[in-house]
Order: sequence, then structure tokens, then C-alpha cells
Amino acid sequence: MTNYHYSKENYREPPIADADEDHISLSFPIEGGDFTHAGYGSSEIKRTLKKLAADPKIVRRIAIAAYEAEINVVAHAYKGRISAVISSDAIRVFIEDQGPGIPDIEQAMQPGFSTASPKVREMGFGAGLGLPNIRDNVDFLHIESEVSIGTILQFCILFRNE
Amino acid sequence: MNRDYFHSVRIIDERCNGCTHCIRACETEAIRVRHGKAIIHEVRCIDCGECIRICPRNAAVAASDDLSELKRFSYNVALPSTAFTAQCPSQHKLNKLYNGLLHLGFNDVFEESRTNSIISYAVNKFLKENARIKPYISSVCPAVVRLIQVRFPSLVEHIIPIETPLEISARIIREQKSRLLGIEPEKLGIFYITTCPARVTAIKQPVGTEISSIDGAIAICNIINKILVFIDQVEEKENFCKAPPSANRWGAVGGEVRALDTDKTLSVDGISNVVQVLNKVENYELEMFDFIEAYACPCGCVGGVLNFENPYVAKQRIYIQGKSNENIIDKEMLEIAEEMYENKTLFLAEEVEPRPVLKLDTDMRKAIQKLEKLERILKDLPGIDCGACGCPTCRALAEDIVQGNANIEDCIFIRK
Repeated sequence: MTNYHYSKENYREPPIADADEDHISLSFPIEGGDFTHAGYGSSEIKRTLKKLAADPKIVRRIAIAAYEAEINVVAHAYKGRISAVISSDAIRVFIEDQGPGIPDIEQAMQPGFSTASPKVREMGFGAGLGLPNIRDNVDFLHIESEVSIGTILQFCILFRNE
Repeated sequence: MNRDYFHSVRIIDERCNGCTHCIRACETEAIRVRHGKAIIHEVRCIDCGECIRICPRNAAVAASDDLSELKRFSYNVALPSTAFTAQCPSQHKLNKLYNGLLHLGFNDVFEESRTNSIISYAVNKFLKENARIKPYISSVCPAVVRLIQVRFPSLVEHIIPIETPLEISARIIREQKSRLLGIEPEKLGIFYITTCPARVTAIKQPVGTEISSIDGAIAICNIINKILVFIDQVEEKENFCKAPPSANRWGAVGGEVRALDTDKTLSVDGISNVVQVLNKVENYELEMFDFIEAYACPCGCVGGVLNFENPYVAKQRIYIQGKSNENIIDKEMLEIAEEMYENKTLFLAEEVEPRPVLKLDTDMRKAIQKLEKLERILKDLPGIDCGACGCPTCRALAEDIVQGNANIEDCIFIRK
């Protein structure tokens, strides 16, 4: 099992939304190899955030991070799920998959490093910018991966930058 | 900024039978049927004209100005839109139509398409000097600009901050005519011969500039219908067809980008297609493009609901007339372009502001509570989006209930 952890300077964990606090939960399945429907979950998350009072600039950061994470599952894994919990302070996104896993996450974090198949590259994906792009847009990122089992990626984006 | 919203698109109650076609055609979900009549939610309407296109009873209409408005001025210039050039089969007929405008009370005609080369010049120069944002999105279609403000507020910075050919044309006319004729600028009437309601609204309530330089907008179909009555008697006193055919290409989708130096461009027409492309821009999926021209109407401006000719016929004419790859530059216009670019008058005077009116509440906490309630209500609704309640979708009804604008009993499935 390999781990990767990143959090922005001054990042303070926002309180986890408990059952009593108002929050929105969303969850969507992801099918590996299905590029036609790739991005549905991140699109729904984006649509939901637009209905809430989230700052458009932050919505865009969330959209890109969620989309990249979803595409990773489509391009590399067999199947997975994207879930989001939105509270008034922050959004937490969880992406878990059953797939080949990431043997060396530090390496995967290098811009341009990619294990994508030629087929995936032909579709215009797999440039090796996915994970670094996610990191650049979030306040907190945690990845756990086990080779031949799968990957769990969590990130958090705060709605207010103090 | 609290302005009252002016809209060209409106509903004629006597014609509306509450059939619900329009509510589902609306990309900003701005229409509801209440008590058997369609009602437009003014803050949401972007004047794209889709409801006009789909209404089977012609109850949704576009208000434009009447020729009687010309009486307000001592000298009137007609400013036919670029799509006007594709409304009749030949240049000869086109010039006859232009000369026909003189019989309707106009004193002169200036083709909007002449200014297109000024805008192409500015966009080319701007794209070379500014590579920060990819892609930039054309500011030409006012319905697309408003769609971005309302549905894609994070993309307002992608709108290229360059004025439209329409606005620049009017400024040139006013400057030149008042100088040549020695009349006061405000006694000069400039009337746009328009393809669509979005432009009528853009003139009455512009985005990116305080006050429009145009005095009014008259629908192409109204003008041509009037001229056809006496077209045989029209003498061709003057040649008003001064724009090169390459400039007329802007009337149909794909024409605007053909005048650009970069090939990294994308053209999209039809409002639902525009929504799809903007979604991709929002996900940074289209960063490989420098510039996108997006038109709310199918085929581009020739597809506007106030045109006379069928959009596909008109588009084909534009393609044939502008077939040569050469971009012919109107020398007089190019000189003006250089000067206007340098003194910044080609740029939008104000930033385009986001107008995220689709959100449930301005307070995040309240918005979340409303969304939770909305989701609970949605579970009780049938989910078939029948429209009988007067809302475009079950989700829209749930939203209206949460906002206090509808009741659960409005759903015929709940009621029975």
C-alpha cells in the first residue's frame, strides 16, 4: 500500500459535516473505459454547486479536480465511484476504484509522467497531467493505493480562503 | 448594479394556450406556465428567441422598433446586419433592397459587415498580445454573452473584451455623418436591421458598455416584407453593397473564425450545442483552442428568428459568395481599425459581470437547506418531466416549491 498526502499551507481541516448539520451528498458510479459518459459525475457536482451560493472561481477549481479524478478512473481502472459531500464550509470529494493501483504515487505526481495506454492517448487523454492538476486545484489531497486492488483519492476544497 | 431588465422577447397572452412547448426549449429555465399562460422570468431570460422558434401559436414574439421611430431624427441611417446580405438571391437584388430602404424613410445605408474586418483585425491583434486565457470566446452573439453570465458565470473572463461590429458600426456612422453633414450627433438616427431579439435587447440594455450608440432596431422580416410591396419601382440610385464578400461570411457560423490568423478555433451554433461546448470550456477541456465563435441560433445569425429567408438557404448563399479563401480588407475600415485599437475604443468599456441568478440562495447555508428540501420533494414527484404543472422539469417544480413559487399540488400525479 502506498500513500500520498498534500495540504496547502495554512490548511485547517474543516469540521466534518455530521448527520445533524445541513449538507448535500452526491454519489455516481464510474465505468472503466467508458469515455462516452466520462465526466457525468463531476458535471452533476458542478451543476449542484452552481445551485448553491459557491463562488464561480471555486466551482471551477472543483470541476477540474473532480473531472480529472473521474477521467483517471475511466482511463485506468475497471470501475469506481465518485462521491461528494458539500457543507457550507467546504466540499469533500472521494473517488474510489477497483483497478491496477498506482505503484509509485510520487512519480505519478510528476507532470508528464503517464502510464496511459496508446488507446487512451489517442482519445486525447493520458498526458500525465491529471494528478498534478488535481493537486494544484485543491486545498487538501490524500491518495491511498494498492497495486492490483485499487485507489482511493480524497480531496477537499474550502469555500472561503481566509 | 440594479437595472430593470428590458426584454425583446415577450408573450402575447391572447395567443398563448399554455401548451408548454416553450418551457422545455428554454436553456435558462426562464418560462413557467401559470393559470394557462406562459410567463417569462425576466431575470433569467437571455433573449435567445428559442421560445419564439418553437411556439406553435406565435404567442412568443420579439418586440422591435417601428419605422415611425424615424420621425424622432432629422437624418436616418439604416444599419443592415451582416445576415441581411443573405436574404435575397443576388447582389443586384440586395442593392435593390438597400435602395428600397430609402423609400421607407432612411437617408443612407451602411452595411454592418463593413465593420467585421475591423473586429477581425482587433481579435487577431488581441490574441497575439494575450495568451493568458484559452480559449477566448467571441462577444458577437449577445445571447451567448448573456448565457455565460447566467449559466457559466466563471467563464465571463473568457469573453474577448472587444466591442461588436454592430456597436462599432454605429460609432463610425455617427462620427462620419455628423462631420460630413454638419448635423448634431443626437439628431442622427441609426437603426439596426436586426436578425434576432437578443440584438434588440443588446441595444436597449447593452452588456460591456453603458449606453448603446444605436437608436433602435427593426426586424429584417418586417423591413423586407414592406419593401417587397414596391420592389419593382425601386431605382438603384446608389451602390450600397460596399462590404467585400469575405466580410459577409460572418452572417453564418464559421465565417468569423475564417478571418483569423490562428487555426486553433472552434465554431459552434445552436444554443444547446453552445451549452455543451461551454461545459467543456469550464472543465478546461478545450484549452487547445485560441478562440471560439459561438452563436445561439442554428447556422449563426442567418438562423435568427427575425430573418426573412430560411437559415439553411441563407447559409449556403454566404458560403458560395464568400467561397474564395482570400480575406479582402476594406482599406478605409483598416485605417479606422488601427486608430481605434490604439486609442482603446475597440474594447468593451465595462467588464462583463457574472449574473449567477440560477442559485437557490445567496447564503450558502440557506442554499444547502433549500437543496436538501428540493431533493426530498423530488423523490415524491414522478420524474417524467411532463410539464403539466407548468415547469420544464420535475426538478424545476421542486425548486419552485422550495422558493415558494409553486405547490406540490401543482403536480397532476400528486393531485389525482
